[in-house]
Parts: sequence; C-alpha cells; structure tokens
Amino acid sequence: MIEVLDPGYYITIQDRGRFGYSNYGVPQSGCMDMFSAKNANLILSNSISEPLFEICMMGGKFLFKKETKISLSGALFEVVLNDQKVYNDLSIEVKKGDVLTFGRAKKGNRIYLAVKGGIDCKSVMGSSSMYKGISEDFIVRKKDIFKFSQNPSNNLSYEMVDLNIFDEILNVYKGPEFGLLTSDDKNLLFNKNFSITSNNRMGYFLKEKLNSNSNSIITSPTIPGIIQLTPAGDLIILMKDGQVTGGYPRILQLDEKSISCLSQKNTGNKFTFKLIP
Amino acid sequence: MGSYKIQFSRIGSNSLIVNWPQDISVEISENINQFVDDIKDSLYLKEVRVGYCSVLILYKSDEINYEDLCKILYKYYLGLADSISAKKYVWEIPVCYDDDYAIDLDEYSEKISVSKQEIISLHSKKIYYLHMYGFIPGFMYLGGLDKKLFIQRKDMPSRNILKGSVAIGGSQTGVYPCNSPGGWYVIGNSPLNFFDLKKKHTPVIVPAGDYVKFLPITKLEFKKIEVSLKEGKYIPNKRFYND
Repeated sequence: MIEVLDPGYYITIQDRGRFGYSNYGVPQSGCMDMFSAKNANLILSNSISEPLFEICMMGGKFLFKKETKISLSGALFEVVLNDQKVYNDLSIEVKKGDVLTFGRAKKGNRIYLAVKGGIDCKSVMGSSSMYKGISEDFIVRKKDIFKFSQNPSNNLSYEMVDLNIFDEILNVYKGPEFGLLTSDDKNLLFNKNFSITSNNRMGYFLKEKLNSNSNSIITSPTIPGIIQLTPAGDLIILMKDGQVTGGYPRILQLDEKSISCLSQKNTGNKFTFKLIP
Repeated sequence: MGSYKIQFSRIGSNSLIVNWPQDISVEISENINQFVDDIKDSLYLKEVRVGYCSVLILYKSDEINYEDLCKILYKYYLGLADSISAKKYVWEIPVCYDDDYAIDLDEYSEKISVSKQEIISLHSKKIYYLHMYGFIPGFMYLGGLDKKLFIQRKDMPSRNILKGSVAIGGSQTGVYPCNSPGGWYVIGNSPLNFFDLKKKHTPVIVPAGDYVKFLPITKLEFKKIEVSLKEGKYIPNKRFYND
C-alpha cells in the first residue's frame, strides 16, 4: 500500500485512457505524456496499461507501507527517497516505511510514478484515469491510500522508446480545416515561435495569435492533439481531457510524440511547429 | 443504402474523418448513426466520434492502413439498410423557467427583442431532435430551435454555469449536465440528472436519435421532482414519436 502524505500541486492517476464512450460525451483522458508513462511501466516489466501517478509541476509525498519496486519517468524533478536522491528511468527498491518526496520540476512539467504490478484503482468505463464525474475522485488527495495490484505483464512486443520529450519542435499534420487558413496565417504558423499562456489536462492556450477570422464550423468531433483556431485568432491545443466535439476550425493535428512533448511544457515555454506529410 | 456522397480524409497517422454534406439535418444524423452502429464493433477501430455531419475515427494503424480501411468503411456504407423502422420516443424534460433559475433570461429577452413569456412558450412548444452527445459527458446537441430564439454566443463565456441549466446558444439549445464554463444564455433549469453512472445500461436519459420536449414546471414542482429523484422514484415521461 502507498499513502499520500502530501498531494502536491496536482496529482492524478492515469492509464492509457477511456475509449468507446465519446458517444456520451466522455473524453479520452489518460496520461498526457504517454511515452514517458509507458517507459515507467516497462522499467518494472508492468503491462503498459497499468495505472500510475501523473505528478504535475511540483510536490507530492508518498509513504510506502509495504516493500515494492517503483520507477520514475518524464520530467526531471528533484526527488528523494527518505534523504537519498533518486533518478528517472531506473527500477528503485523501496522498503516499508520509506518516504518518497517530490520537489519542483527542474525541466519539463509532468513526471510519472509507477509501482510494480500497478496501482489498484477502480476502472470506470474501461479505464482508471481520473476525470471529474466519471471516476470516484478526480484528483489524488492527502491521506488517500492505494493498494498495489499484482498484475502480470502482458507486453508482447513493446520496447522502451527513446524520445526527446523536451523537443522544442512539434510535428503537426494538416487538420481537417487547414484549407480555411490564409497564406499569411500558414506563413505565421511555420515561421514563428509560439509560447504557452496556460495549460491543464484539457488544453494548452498559446500566446501568439493568427489573424482574426470569421470562420466557424458546424460542431464536429475532436481528438487530443487537435489545434483549434478561434475567431479572435487564438490557438487552443486540445489535450487528453479535452472536449469530444467543438465548433472552431481544426487547423492542425499534433502527432503522438508531440503530444508527449507538449505535455512537458509549461507557461512561458517556447516551441515551433513543423508540418509533416 | 448509402444515400449521401460521403468523403474520407485522413488526419495524422491513425485517424480519419468521414464527411457528409455540411448541413445540420435529422436525415443526415440518422444516416450517420446508422453507419456508426454498423461499424462500431469493427476490430480495427479504437474510437468513433460523431458530429452533426461528420464522423472521426481513431484506428489501429499497426493493423490496417488508411486506404484499406476506407475501402472497408465505404463497403459498410453502401451496404446500409434502406431505412430504419426503430421506434423513436419523445422524452419530456421538466424545466423551471423561474427567474431564480433563468439567470440570463432578462438579458436574452432584451437582446433578441422577444418577451420572456414568449421565449418560454416558443422554447417549450417545440420537439427537439437529439443529434448527438458531445462537449462534456451527457451534453445533448438538440436541433429544432425556433428561429426567433437564435442568438450569438456570449462574447465572454460564463465561468460557472450550474448543473441542470437549460440554455440557448447560436441556433441550438441544450442542458448543462454538470457545473461547467459555457457561452450560452441560461433560460431555466431542469432537476434531472443528465449523466449518471449509477444508472444501469446507460448513463444518459435520452438516447441519441430520440426527441426531447421541455415541460415548464413551477419552483414547487422542481423541488418535488428533486425529492423523488433522491428516493429513486422519478421516471421521466416518454411517448412514441409520430412524424
């Protein structure tokens, strides 16, 4: 068992996400940086669909009430086990009574804490990912206690992925309404630095604008990674908890790796878009 | 029978969009829902998301390529049955239009130059078609709003619209199933739970493709329904829909 002594800034439990319920308006959810989350599970020979903790920005303190193995992957945080520094992408042995403490993110935004066998967390609509109104709770709280699962691994052909999650170039495909963009705006998109004003699990809001436009579309389906253009020229990138439909033109779509890379960015961070075929 | 000209286009490496003619209509939504019912259990698909006139499909790109999947999906479309004879229901949704709940009704009435009484009458007289769910869990996209009630969405969305709020935005009306930010004008509130995981079979009240009619109720009736909901005794009224 693991007890939450301090829930930090924002900690949730996530897995690969919830599929097949968007017909009720239920978003996908799941790990924002799926590449790091997969790695965290693979280090422990867990199945890649095991739920783990997604720890955002800073803080978090956990007490282990039973010995086990853990792993960390994703953003670079200051993390100590009791008073010993621990590092990402390694299998770490913990004993009963050990305390794991997260400081601030030094680089990146989200770190994953996986436990050998997975965290025992009720699955709702096919996923343990926390989301308000779907899972029992939508955030990890102080004094929460989670049991460990003993699930065997069922990965057949997955390998650890080597990806620079701090990449400042985000790969994008043309979105369904790319054609509505003026050539001016296309130029801006691929020749300008963009930066983040705010972000959460639903979406990233960008500071730099395109020209205002009066285009809106008939409400259409959206998926994580879609980049919407508002009439005021603002750009919104929908992420894992993003709404399943929207009325703004969907001008670009991030590829899977770039969704992970964006998840590791925070307010003020800069990046550029690169169009891929 | 694939009666519309549909078009496939790819987005990214593992998703595609099927477009119907870009129009909001009951016929197109019926056609889309029929198509989705047919394909949704296909092993190649991870997720199917529905809009008014398009479907977005997430597929297992390690098992099938885009071109082959399009061919399969198009075959499904051509093979759709001529018509569906499934019985449709009209679901009665109680709404209290009292000023206590209708927080934007004064402003809205002024903006569209229609009296509050007439707004309530126009809104509760019509039968709305439930095209689909979207936006947030349990949010119904209802079609059929009277043209007199159309209004541009608020310039600045409200930060917190209360659960159950019945609202109008653009040419649409709907109910907020939980507290949420939103850009529509709130003209009333319904005591029902529009997304409830404790319910058996389905978390929603009205299935997509059925119809909704709003029934004006008093504040007292609102409270009574709230009580009977808590006791698990409330069952919404429904009747067969005749064209």
